[in-house]
Amino acid sequence: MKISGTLSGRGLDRLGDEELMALVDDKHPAAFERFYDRHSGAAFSLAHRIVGQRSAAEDVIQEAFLSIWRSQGRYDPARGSVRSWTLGIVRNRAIDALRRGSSPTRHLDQDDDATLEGRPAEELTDDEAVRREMAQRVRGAIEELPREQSQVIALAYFGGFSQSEIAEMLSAPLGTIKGRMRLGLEKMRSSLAEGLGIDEAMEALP
Amino acid sequence: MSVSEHVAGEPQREALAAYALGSLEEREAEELALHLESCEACRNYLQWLRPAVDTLPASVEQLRPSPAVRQAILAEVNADARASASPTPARPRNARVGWRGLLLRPATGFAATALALAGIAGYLINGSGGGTAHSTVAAVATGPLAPAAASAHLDRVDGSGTLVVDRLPRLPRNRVYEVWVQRGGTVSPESTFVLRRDGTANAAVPGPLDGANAVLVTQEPHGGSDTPTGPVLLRAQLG
Repeated sequence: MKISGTLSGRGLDRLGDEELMALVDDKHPAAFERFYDRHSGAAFSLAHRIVGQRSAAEDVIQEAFLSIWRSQGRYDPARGSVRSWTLGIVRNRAIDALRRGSSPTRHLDQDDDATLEGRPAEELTDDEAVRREMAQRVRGAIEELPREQSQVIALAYFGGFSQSEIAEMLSAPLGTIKGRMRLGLEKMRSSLAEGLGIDEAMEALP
Repeated sequence: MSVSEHVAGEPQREALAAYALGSLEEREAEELALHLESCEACRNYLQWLRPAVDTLPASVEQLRPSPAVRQAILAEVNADARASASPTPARPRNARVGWRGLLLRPATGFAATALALAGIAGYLINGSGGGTAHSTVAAVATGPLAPAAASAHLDRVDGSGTLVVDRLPRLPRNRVYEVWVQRGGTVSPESTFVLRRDGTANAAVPGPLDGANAVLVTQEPHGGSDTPTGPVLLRAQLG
């Protein structure tokens, strides 16, 4: 006779993201809890970058995670990794919140002590350490782009602006904006392929 | 694959880049989504480009959300789960399709060996917090060909669980292990699995396990069966 196992359903922790999502789709709270713990840090960071305020970002991830829990729109592996899919939902919710919000201009507040950048490594969880490292590498890749390209990408993705809004904002022809967006993204994609190691790092994310 | 290998022309690529960034007007996005259904070149380009967009969230300053958000979200989730758990809904027949292939990994061709199970131990440990009940039900196999070699236990969290197995016999390519929940006189399919390279596997047991008598494992043809066709190889006794 042998007793093995844990108190905390460690079996769930061993499941991959996609396996876990199948359980979340089937409405299992313990699986959802793991799912939240794996992705809430990245989700909150993205929401905060978009809406610019801690409390608004918390509302966004609460909406986004509950919509995943309750929705019929299930995870589809064809749309990328579970993390990318989740962050896509968070991004859209955050943009909606930004458009609903009263303050039209984003302000990036540095008012909280929740940033991981300034903390000693030993205070971070493994996931947080990986995320911090990733952030630095991806930022490096973005900084290599010509400024006018990284700017339109950021306005589109983090600002939720359409191409014509960006053209108006920057007083540039629409065709120019379209070109910068394409060139910038293609260049980023190519540097990923050229071994920045970001693909690998993305896969290594817990 | 590089950009030049894509057939999509420059105007299409510009539209697709904006689409990937969520920067098209709603109407344009809908039109493009429609076009994508029938245009392979555009689909390929979009798929190639997407990782660039997917890395953008990773570039932002990384923060830690407040534990209060976690509490608030999980409170709603658990309330939803409790509400839908009573009365226990019949598991939709087509729901099991979703479990097909869940944990399938390449199976290598060893002859299947029969495994009989003798020692069964049940062990219940109450979880310490949040009203979540965790328990572990363990079992030891003493089959004629692998005496005491195979081990398995069921990690149970509230109404569902994960069956964690180790050193089960490898199966031929066209066979899988299938997990069942026995409740009274009925046995319903839960999921199928094959072993990882190291001989272990985790199988989902979505349940609900409340009121169930046992979790069983049999060996079935690839794709699984609706009712068990082979002898029970593992049994985790619940009540």
